[in-house]
Amino acid sequence: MTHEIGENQINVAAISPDFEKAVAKTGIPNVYKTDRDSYQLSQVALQKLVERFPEITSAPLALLHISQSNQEFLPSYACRLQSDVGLSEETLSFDVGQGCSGFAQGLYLASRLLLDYENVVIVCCDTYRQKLDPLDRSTSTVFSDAATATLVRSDGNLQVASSVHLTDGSGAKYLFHSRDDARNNGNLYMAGGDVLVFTKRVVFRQAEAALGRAGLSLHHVDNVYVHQASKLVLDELERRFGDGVNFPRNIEEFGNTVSSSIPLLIRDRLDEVNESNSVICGFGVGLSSSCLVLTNK
Amino acid sequence: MADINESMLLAGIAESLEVDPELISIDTVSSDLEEWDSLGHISIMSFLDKTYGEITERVPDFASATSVREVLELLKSHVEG
Repeated sequence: MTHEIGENQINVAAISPDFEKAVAKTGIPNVYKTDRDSYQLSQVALQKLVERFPEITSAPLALLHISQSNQEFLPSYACRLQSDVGLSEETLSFDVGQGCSGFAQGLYLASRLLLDYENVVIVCCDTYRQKLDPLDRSTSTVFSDAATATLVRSDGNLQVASSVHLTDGSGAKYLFHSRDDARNNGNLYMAGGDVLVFTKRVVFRQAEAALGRAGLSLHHVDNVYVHQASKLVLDELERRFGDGVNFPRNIEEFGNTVSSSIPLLIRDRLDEVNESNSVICGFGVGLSSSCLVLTNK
Repeated sequence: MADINESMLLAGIAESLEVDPELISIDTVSSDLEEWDSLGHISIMSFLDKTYGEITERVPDFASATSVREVLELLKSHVEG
């Protein structure tokens, strides 16, 4: 698993005098912005992965590029990345247009693609900061730019024991970014309260349902890795999951990196992930939410 | 779970938004205060949940409330006592 963070660190409290109090609510003292476009960020993260695992260039693989920050209409970024980082032409390459639930959904897709491929690469990349009104306290204090590249192998220790996916498209109006300048002046809009209601309504119950499908309960779970949305959201979810599970956070380190938040959370915890039962929950824009249960084979 | 007390509600909203309590009255609407944006509203929801037993999950309409009066009316409709 490799990553590339936006190269410009921005102190949230310094953006605007109104933002200092926001830091205690969000848990995010610094956000990160890139001057590069999302393709360049994706390419750097993937190139790092290829340098670490050069053997993946000589065999067929599946490459997923997960983002809602593409700046080109076509072709897919996955197709361009295949060539630019030197992957085999026998690569299944496609883009997935998803945000905060993107990695969980990508991992689910990878689990199915592993039936036909020995290796699947999931590249997540979002550069939301270029979409923001920098003075919008609800968004500018939260989002960071980042890309991650994750290699999933068929001979790995883990399996996706179960998954539950949910979409509530009626909530599209609560988190959007439109080319139409008439909609929020062309800036990303987030109704935090409504997204929080969705999160509270859905995520924990979804995790319980996924565990049930795997024949497990919360008692069998060692780790819960959730999308790092903000401190308020993490506090709520940690309270729901209770004291019996490990509930790591790194919101204070990177901010909300959208589709990269879960891979950035688990990148330094791979031994922990590989040796225990885990729940992964990605949720947000769509509105959408996906929960996976990972167990040892 | 607390009973509905208008003074307590006003104080709780003021504390949630981190503003002078004198700025919050029954007539206050969200557009009156810069602090009552999406992030501020989440803080108000957190206060309501702690005070009235996860009420914003049971009553999603709180998420779109844009005035103190609206919050109070929702509480009166959904909190017993």
